[in-house]
Formats: sequence, C-alpha cells, structure tokens
Amino acid sequence: MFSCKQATELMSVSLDSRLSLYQRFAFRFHLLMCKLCSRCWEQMLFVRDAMHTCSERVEEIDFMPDHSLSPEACERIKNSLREHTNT
Amino acid sequence: MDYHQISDPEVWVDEHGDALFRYALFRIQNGQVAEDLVQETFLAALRGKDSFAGRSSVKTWLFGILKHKIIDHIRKISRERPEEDIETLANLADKTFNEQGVWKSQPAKWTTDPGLLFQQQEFWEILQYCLSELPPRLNQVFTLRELDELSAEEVRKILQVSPTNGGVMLHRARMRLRECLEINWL
Repeated sequence: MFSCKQATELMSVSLDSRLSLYQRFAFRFHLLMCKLCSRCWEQMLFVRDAMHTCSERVEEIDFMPDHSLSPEACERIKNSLREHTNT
Repeated sequence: MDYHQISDPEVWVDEHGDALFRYALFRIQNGQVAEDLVQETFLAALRGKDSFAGRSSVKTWLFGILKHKIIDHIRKISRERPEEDIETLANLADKTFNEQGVWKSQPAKWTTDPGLLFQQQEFWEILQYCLSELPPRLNQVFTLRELDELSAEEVRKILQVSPTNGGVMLHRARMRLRECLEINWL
C-alpha cells in the first residue's frame, strides 16, 4: 500500500500516460480504501474538465476583463499592417 | 461570411484586438510581449489572408494563429533560460502532505455542479486567478498540457524539461490549482 502523496502522483501520471497493470490495480485499491484521495481524484478530473472547457470557449470567456489594447498599440499595429500591405 | 471583415485587416484590429490581447496577456502575463504577439498574429493573418477559406469565423482563425504564436514564444524563452526548472521545483515546499505522505490539509467535499459552474463568468475569473498564482514555469507546463491540449511529451520538448521534472511539475500544478479553487470558490 502506498501513501496518499504517492497516490496523488499516480493520479497525475494517469492523466498524461497509461499506468501499468500493477499501478492501475494499486491506484484503484487505494481509492477504494481512502475517501480523501478519492475526493482529490474527482477534483483533479474536475480541474482538467474546467481547463478543457476553457479551451473550447476561448472566444467567449472574458480573459483579463480589466485590460485592453492601448490606442497607441492599436495604431502601431495598424501602421505595421499598412506597411506590409504596401510592400 | 462578411467579405469586408476578411478583406480589411484594420477592421480585425478594431473588432478582435482587445480579445486577442487579453488572451495573450492571460497566457504570458507581460503586457509588452502580449502586444507584440497580437501584432505578429495580425501580420501572419495578413500574409495568410488569401488562403483563409472562411470555413471558420475570422475570430476563430485569429485565435488559432495567436495560440501558435504563444507556443512559439514559450518555446523560445525556454531555450534561453531552461535552468529555471530546478529552481522552480526546489522552491516549492510541500504543504499538502506530512513526511509520511499523509494528507496535512485535507481536500474538502465539493458539491457544485460543473455544468452550472462553467456558465458563470466569475468561475472563469477565479480559474484565471489561480493559474496566475502558479509560478511561471508551472503555469506554462500546465496550460500547454490542459489548455492547448498538447501531449506531455510535446510539452516537455517545448519547455526543455526531463520526463521526471515534467511529471513533478504537472503534479504540483494540478494539486495547487485544486487547492486554490477550493479556497477561493468552493
């Protein structure tokens, strides 16, 4: 039986690659026995789903709503577009 | 598709400049670099205008270009200073577990419905806050993996980190984000 810390490490590994048969068995057994790790696993999946949803809705979500492109930056970008259009 | 929208690049700046800038700022957390990336995006769009077939909206097309620019930028700065990894990992004290690997700060029960939560702008603001609280390299490793949805191997190549360090960084990022959301939202 490995520790809760090791269990959370395996949770993370399992989100990036396939666990070995032994790892899968030990991981599932630990989750069955440990309410806190089971909770952490669900929450880690929630965080991943939130990030994927964020990625899907990247054009709808207001990122950094208090910031905007300054008028000077807008003008600079437009000037550079004009220069490249004319060349 | 509005032909005027495609044909006049200056209209792109007025209509999509702010959204692109905010996203670049969220990812890079540096206003000057974010502006430069937006400018590069518009210039690349101008060059590729004739091949844009209008299968997606102009905004989707521009966001697609910007995402590639952001990844290229992260790749470039990682080549310039790859040594940060060791520092990042060494500075992260583990407050979650005791020396035996047992929970020190126990995860609380979450009772929220993700479907409802994801409809709320406030949730996305807190997620952005929690991502911004991660050390820069952890933020990069995690957003490349989960937002750009690159494979762990691709992320390691971009950031020039070893498989071991990459795995540790992803684990730390996931644990920190989980904890930050718990403290600030749930």
